[in-house]
Amino acid sequence: MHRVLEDPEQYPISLKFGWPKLSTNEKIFLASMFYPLFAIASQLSPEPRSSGIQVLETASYQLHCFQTLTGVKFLAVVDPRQTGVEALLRRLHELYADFALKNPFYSLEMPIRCELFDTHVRSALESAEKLGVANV
Amino acid sequence: MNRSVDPKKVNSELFTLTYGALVVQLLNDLESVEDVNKHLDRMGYNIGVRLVEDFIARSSADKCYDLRETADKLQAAFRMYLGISPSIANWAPAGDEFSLMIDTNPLTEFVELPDTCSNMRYSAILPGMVRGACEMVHLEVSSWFVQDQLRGDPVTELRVKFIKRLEDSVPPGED
Repeated sequence: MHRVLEDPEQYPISLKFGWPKLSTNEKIFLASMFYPLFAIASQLSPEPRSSGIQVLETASYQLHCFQTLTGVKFLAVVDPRQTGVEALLRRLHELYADFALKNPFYSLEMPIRCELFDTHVRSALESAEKLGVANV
Repeated sequence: MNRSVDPKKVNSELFTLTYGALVVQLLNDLESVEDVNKHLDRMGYNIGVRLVEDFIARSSADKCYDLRETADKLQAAFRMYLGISPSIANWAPAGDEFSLMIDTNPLTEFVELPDTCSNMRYSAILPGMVRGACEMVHLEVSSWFVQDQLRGDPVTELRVKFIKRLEDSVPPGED
């Protein structure tokens, strides 16, 4: 730690704080718990043909869900003050169509391990972060 | 001269030639016109299954409530991906079947079928794509060529027949 801070070649240093990343299996596990919740939400509706969960609010975060016509779900866990999440999810949909589905070596319904997809998602997230916070 | 302006565009002749090389290679490998037809259809299916997501994302297409809307979406997709606008015609009286009439099929621009391949469905990739794409939005359809300019017909007619809604694959919150 100190060695990193003392080494002038490391500057500028960018630090990010957050929870340790989940493993792929943990993510799949959590996502598959969300799936029935989403289905229940659409069944509970007093009106027929309701959508499932679109936004889930807690005191410390919001979960946004966007389901495409084919049934793929995009989820974003964000700060409650974050804006433009829907646009972000739509952007992710495009990125999924581009860099996962159009990659002939990506097999459908499998975890996406495509470098290009990851870089584009990262830059989409960064720009959403900047825009979203600036709008607060 | 302006061809290289849009980096997203490739020369359509390269596309046509690539498809031609693919079909001929398939024929050399499989040595059976029937098998080539099957393979092209399957390849089209695999493309359709993937491409439909791109279509939905970019055209922000909405749900279809009847087959006429589906036909419009297919027409839009042909415009978007092949640059052609087939007309929709020949509706079956029951409203469960229609045709996409293609005046100029970019896949067959330079193609003449030799006599040995007279039953080849050269563009079989297209009905395969229609089938794959519809399946992902929970519609089972079958699709085939009724007329083909390659076989001397005045137009190329791609028939699409609705079979059923795939209720099992409709996700909750989308019915």
